[in-house]
Amino acid sequence: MSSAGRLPTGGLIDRARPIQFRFDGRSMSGFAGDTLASALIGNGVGLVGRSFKYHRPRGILSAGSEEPNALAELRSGARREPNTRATTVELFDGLEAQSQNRWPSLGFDILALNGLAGGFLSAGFYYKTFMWPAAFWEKVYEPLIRRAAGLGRSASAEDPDHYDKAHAHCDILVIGAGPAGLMAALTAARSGARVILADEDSLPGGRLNGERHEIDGRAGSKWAATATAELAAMPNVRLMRRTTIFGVYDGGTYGAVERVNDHVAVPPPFQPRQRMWRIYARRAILAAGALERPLVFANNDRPGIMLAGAVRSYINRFGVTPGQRLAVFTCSDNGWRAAADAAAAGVSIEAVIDSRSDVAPALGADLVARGIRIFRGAQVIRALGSRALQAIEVRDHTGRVSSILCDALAMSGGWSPVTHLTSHLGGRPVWSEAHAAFVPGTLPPGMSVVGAANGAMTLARALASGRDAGARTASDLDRTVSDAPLPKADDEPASVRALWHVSGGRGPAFVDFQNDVTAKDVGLANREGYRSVELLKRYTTLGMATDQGKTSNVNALAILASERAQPVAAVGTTLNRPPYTPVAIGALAGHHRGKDFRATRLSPLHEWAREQGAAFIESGAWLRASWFPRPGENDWLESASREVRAVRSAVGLTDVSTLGKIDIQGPDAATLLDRVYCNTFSTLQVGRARYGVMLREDGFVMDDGTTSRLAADHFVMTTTTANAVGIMRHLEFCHQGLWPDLDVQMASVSEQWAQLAIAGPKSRETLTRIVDRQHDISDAAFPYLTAREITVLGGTRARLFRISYSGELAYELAVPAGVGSAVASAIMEAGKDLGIQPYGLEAMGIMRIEKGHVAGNEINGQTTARDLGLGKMMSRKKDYIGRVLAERPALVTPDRWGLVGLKPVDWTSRIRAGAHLIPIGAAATTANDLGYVTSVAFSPTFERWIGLGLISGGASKHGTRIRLVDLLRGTDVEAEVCDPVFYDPKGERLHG
Amino acid sequence: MADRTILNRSALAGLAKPGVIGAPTGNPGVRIREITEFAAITVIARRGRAAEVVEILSRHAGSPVADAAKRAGNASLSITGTAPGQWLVVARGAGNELDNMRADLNGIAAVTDQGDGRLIIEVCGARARDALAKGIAIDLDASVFKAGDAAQTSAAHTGLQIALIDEAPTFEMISARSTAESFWSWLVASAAEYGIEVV
Amino acid sequence: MRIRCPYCGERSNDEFTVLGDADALLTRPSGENIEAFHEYVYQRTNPAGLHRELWYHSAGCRRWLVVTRDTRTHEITNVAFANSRGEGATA
Ligand SMILES: [Zn+2]
Repeated sequence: MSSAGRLPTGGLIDRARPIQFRFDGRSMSGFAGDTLASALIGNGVGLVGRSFKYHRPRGILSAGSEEPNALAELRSGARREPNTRATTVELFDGLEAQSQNRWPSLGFDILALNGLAGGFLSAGFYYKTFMWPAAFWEKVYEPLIRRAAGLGRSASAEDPDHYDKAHAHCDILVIGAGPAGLMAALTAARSGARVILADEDSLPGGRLNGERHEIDGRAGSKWAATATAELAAMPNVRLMRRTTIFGVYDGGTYGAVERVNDHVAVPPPFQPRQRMWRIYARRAILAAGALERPLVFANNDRPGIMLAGAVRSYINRFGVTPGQRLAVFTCSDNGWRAAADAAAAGVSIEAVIDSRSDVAPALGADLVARGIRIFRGAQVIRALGSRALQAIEVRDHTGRVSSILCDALAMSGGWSPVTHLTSHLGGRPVWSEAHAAFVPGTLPPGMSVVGAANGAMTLARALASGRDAGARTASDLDRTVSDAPLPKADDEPASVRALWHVSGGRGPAFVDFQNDVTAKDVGLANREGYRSVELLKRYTTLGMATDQGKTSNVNALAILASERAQPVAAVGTTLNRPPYTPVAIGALAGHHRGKDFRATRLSPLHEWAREQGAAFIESGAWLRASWFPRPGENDWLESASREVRAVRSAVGLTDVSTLGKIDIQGPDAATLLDRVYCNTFSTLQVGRARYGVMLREDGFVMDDGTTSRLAADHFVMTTTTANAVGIMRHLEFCHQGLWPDLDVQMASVSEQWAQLAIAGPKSRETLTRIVDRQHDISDAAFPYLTAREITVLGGTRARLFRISYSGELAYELAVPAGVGSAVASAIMEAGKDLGIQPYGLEAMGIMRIEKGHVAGNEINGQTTARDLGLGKMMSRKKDYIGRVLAERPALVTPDRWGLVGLKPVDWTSRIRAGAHLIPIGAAATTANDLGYVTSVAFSPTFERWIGLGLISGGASKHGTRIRLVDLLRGTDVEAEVCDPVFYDPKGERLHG
Repeated sequence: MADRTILNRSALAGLAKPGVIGAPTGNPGVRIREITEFAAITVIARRGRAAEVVEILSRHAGSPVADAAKRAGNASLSITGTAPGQWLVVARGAGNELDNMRADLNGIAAVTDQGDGRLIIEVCGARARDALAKGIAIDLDASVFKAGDAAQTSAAHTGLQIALIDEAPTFEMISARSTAESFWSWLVASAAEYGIEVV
Repeated sequence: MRIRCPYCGERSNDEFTVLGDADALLTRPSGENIEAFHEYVYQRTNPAGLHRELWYHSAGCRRWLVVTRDTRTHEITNVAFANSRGEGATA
């Protein structure tokens, strides 16, 4: 196609730098400084996509981020990116873009024939059409909907690019680098304040780049460039181009996304594609400008019909024209300026149609002199043409209708201030009849609004309001502001008389282009009772999807108001929420995806476990050794069973470093422990360890673990792995919040100590070989529940605890984390001839079930100490957290679910955790549910499945039979209820 | 006390290998160094004894120590406030000087060994602030965060103590051993575009 | 939301863990009265306006703080250490 739309001269593009790109497979060229949209216009492409529901041909409506129509798929393969607004895509060499939502091709779309989809996708279609019959949903509606409605296709491969997140701080954040924003930033920055100026465009200047105004006698775009250069050179200014402030949050926090490398095909090595910023600003100045509104008339969506301001931008900034024969339809002065700009660029003006009859005579004087047809008090009632605009029908002030041939129509329905960010914290914009628009209402704390965003619609007023706000804000922050003169600029009139809806034309009159919502749909919704704006939005889908109704909301509200015969102010508006424009999920994730989704914690024994060939499993944030496969073993159960047998018959070594460890010191340390544990610790002798149970204040069990007394005023507590952080927080609460008078000092030492469990009948013999000789660990000198500081391997400091989780003679050895792996290797070496084996989480889990120890499955927040068979630990001689509420009637009834052991009657049967306990002969219903299975294991010791469970009546049910029913997996196994301690119930092996 | 005869692995052993990584800028914008030889203790004042602890710590540091988020000390010994009445003391090298301090604090403060549980990294270079801002939310600007300033905060979902040692700028970051690998992954990813020299 | 910790300075709320009504939680009953503990554990007012809340500076100094916050606007008017019952702004 020829460069039909490219003007011979003009624009801020670099004509010396041509750029090649492809659209729907066709090679085209543009220039540096083009957007995809301007380049398409330059290549004479008017039809760029199909609409969401009706598949109507669509062109480019705007020149900015408000674009509802011109959505394209960019790039290909893993970088394919749907729904990108062609109006914001900077052209780069090799850009591949595809139109969306067309089938089979953009020019010929089957679903557009006869408005095939039309009848069934009217307002409220989600709620009406699919009600009946139900079977139609899957077979008919869903496939049709999926084909008919929807936007682009996302990439199916993982995004190869990196995304960043970053933080920035400033005194004053200026949002928008148009004339008001630049002026505000200059004024504030010159005072020495730390300023961030963010603008979504690649080229600061805002409307100055799209219009022909002069400032201080120079082109506005030149003034913007000079102002930008001054700001860029100041050390107290961070200038953020291509950066959208998308959200306002409490406490002066702003979300922003910087498109660092969207304007190149592939980011340079090590550079992010996009960067998400959190900006902390003491003050903000919103200078986001205003968005022009379309006019609502029949077939107003035909390609070639464009906002007047956009026409000006394309001509003045990009040196392209959307047509050769332009007509203008306006209810504001901006339409006339678009006509003047187009005429100056040599575009033929076919007509200017202004719905107002009293237009300032000066506005059109030029055009009248050139003999251009002017209609005042007239309206465009219909557009003609299908894939491109061919003509318009104009109804003049007498009511006579005539046709005018044209291939482009600039329309201006007035401007809506961009108030979005003012309402992110709940502020409601207020209707201004003078502006025929919503203007900012209650503002977020610390924010002021300037320029067109605040209704200052002329250049001179925008500059002045920017200067004033910059100065006021800087002085607020105790900066001294100099009195620089305000640049001189035009202050020409910018009047508007709203025209919400042109009736009388045949054909749909679109209000929301992106969601295919027409004026008729708004009327229908109102008649069907959806009269509130919030309901209107949801019923019609108006204002949803990628553009969030930037060009449609006000028109829709005004039409609704007119349907309701009420002023717009009475109808109100929906609230905007973040994000202002779409934000890629990748940018929100930043670095944190894949293995970096969250921080992974590695044990100090990780290196050792890896050398031992461990199979690792994620357990909370930890990566833990699950089992240690050996040659010839087929599955985890074989490996874990071997590990259990090694511990029960010889010796095993496992990593328990992930347990929480808390150092508790001070004269009142024992008092604090007495108050947080249900059992007593003040009576614990120095050098001894004790198992403790903590309750929550509501009487349920919170956590358990072993706490040892190293000195009269020094304890070390262990918590479960999962609760390590929470217990530290709880202890700090108890100390700081409840009992600040206690002289206690606490420090987490979870990271400091590697902790190894050495378990099995030969554990002492193994340990003796690494413990330094002066420390006697014989049974007499170091009996069960001894805890002492020792040294190992020739002087390495260590703490040795004789405690057992496996039920065997066992020890836990704590050594400084840095030597953890080395000590583990030394123990493996020492125990080699004794048959030592490393064991993992699975073996540990099996042995604790054999031993009837409770773990997270049983300490589940719904069980009391009594339920778990630990009631005897609850002291009656002291106060402690949970003591009083643990005595509540419902927590002490005999039919509470208590811990028991379960073994299948047929010893070959497998049992499942989660199965419900149902009396034999009763139906498997909730009413007959007596409890459930909490933990199961295949016990290599007993060579059968065993389990723990909670059953109504607890220990009183020992010896009875029950069914274990699992309706999900379809199992029903008869089992005997027994004591939960399957292995060594007398505990003789512990003392071995 | 550090009488170790067996291999002591630093938190980043095998990861922080000297060399240049990231963008080949010729002049790396970020230099990273893992401090591998050090001892550390937390000092928590007994109830009502913070003033005495400050005095003792100041004597050992050779400069005033504050009961605040500040880092004091010298090349071999640093004392950083981590909470009211709490400090982290780091002795670079073998850390024998901590034994005297521990004795002086006996009965006045709780002292707890922490050196094995910590990762210490120094980050400096012209782009250090830009790289760190990618995970650290506090204001590290030269006009705000000055030499001797310190903060407890987080980066990349990991708790972190950060201090400015000098205006080069050289930042000291102290974090947990268990998350060292994830932390390193974040730091390298964040600094890569500026070029990194691991020293 | 930004909370000005008396020790660490102003930080975003993601550095903190919230627990709830400070005046309720810091007033643990003594004795055996189940009703009193029931009130203490479960009964809360839910004011639209100023609310004194316990926040734990988990990613900072690990102090429990009493934060006075307007629940309608998130405006924070005072932050103090919990070990002084939220009085003043020092430990
Ligand atoms: Zn704090």
